[in-house]
Amino acid sequence: MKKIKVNQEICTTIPMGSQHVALPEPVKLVFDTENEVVKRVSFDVSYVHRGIEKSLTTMYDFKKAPYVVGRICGICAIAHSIACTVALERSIGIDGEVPDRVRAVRMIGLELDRLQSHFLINGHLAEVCGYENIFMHLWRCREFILDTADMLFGNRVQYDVVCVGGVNRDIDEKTGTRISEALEEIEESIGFMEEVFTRDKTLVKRLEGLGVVSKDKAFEYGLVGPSARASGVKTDCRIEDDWGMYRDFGLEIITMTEGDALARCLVRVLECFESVRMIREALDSTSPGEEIQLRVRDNPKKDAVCRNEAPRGELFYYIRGTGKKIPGRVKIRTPTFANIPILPHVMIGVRYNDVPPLLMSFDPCLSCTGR
Amino acid sequence: MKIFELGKAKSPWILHYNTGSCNGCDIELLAVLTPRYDVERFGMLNKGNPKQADILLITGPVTKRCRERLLNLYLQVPEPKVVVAVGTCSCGGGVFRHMYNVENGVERVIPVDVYVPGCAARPQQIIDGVVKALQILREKGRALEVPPHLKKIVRGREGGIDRESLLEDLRRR
Repeated sequence: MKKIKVNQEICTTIPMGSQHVALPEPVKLVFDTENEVVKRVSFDVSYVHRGIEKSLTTMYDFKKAPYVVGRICGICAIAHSIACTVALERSIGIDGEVPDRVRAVRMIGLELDRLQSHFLINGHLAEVCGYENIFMHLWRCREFILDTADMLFGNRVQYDVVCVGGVNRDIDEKTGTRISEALEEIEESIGFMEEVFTRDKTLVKRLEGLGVVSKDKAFEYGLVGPSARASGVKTDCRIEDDWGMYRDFGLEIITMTEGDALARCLVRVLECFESVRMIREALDSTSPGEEIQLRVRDNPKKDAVCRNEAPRGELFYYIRGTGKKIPGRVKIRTPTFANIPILPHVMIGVRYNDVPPLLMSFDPCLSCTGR
Repeated sequence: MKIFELGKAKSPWILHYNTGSCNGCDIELLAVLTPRYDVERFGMLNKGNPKQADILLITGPVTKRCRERLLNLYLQVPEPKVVVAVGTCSCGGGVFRHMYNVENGVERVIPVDVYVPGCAARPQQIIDGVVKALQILREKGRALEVPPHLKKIVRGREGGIDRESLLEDLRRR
């Protein structure tokens, strides 16, 4: 019998997206696989480009900017609003005068947002692993957080509570006590989430050792947020560029050394506990009834920068003030943009059925990246 | 005919497509599927295949790159179909109106049957919109049946529709 020699490698190309049932956002991934093992990956993330940066320098004046910027991403809306507001305040020169009550309310908003985002992605991760039951449980728990946000700010997803020079709503004492009750319930559900991701044997085995990123690699590729912290990089913009009172409250940076999908997941779980503590501290730190809005008379005139810790990592804003109502340039660098370059590196050599959990463990948000 | 109509009214399948929204409406759509709102009690299932879908849920203001994909999806969904625009930006552009890469709403690309405003649209609103879409789906399904003036002929013949008599009837009109 003649032996047939195959010289060129034979790859099966699997396209995924731009419309797919597992993807809530349009993104196109093309995998070249050989016997189910991924050999090449290519990405296309720009389906959702709307042109928000340009519109901030042509259509909207700086007082409307926090609300427009919130529409970049619905999951981390308030992180965008806060980063933009703080950068604008620095540009105007009033960032030192912002009252403590305003900082506290902003912190509560951001931490609530982080809580719901972490529940969302951990639930989604469980779903792509095949655990629809846990997905349903975690999303049921997430409703308590959204209820709290609804009670505080009047909306479930887009809070729109931050404005230049302050906040639009104060938290009165009655709501304050009701929140502390709700927080206990939330803490209980975080405990449930921790139990699931540490004790469930199948889930742990599925995620353990998947997509390991070493500390050096994390530095090299410039990872941010929980993905970097899971690899042992101690970075948190809440401490490094503190616009609130995080340093006073002694925020603890949670790190792990494993760097696999499970570690990324657990870092998020442990951060939830820290977020709840931050909300409690912020509630107790100041009392309602103080002034919550500064009068803004000047236009942005200097160059200013703000780094804020969104649920997915470092969010960077640069604003060039020109002395007019509309800034000269707004530059946004989102966390997912920093986390994408490592994906092809981690995905090569992984089995195709492990790709969805691996992708979800990095928590990609493509509305942010495309904007 | 009636059996299919009944089945569709009880269990319409949903196709969800994001055309550049902020994810806010999309996570609310997912929340609609989860225990508290549980849209599955209306028999609705979120399926990714356009060829099996009855209701199209569109979020986002339709970016220029998504336009062709949206059109393609719409053409693949079999009749009768209902389009629901979820969120302010899909109804008319919202904050994204007149940005350079945006088509100002779904209605500029495909016909829309139900508008669900809100930024982000609440789960209750989405359920309300989808239930309204059910009614429209039933009406559209009826309209697709044999037109009333031909019903007599269809009923009169035992072997189903006779093509020649149909053509004759059409010629007369």
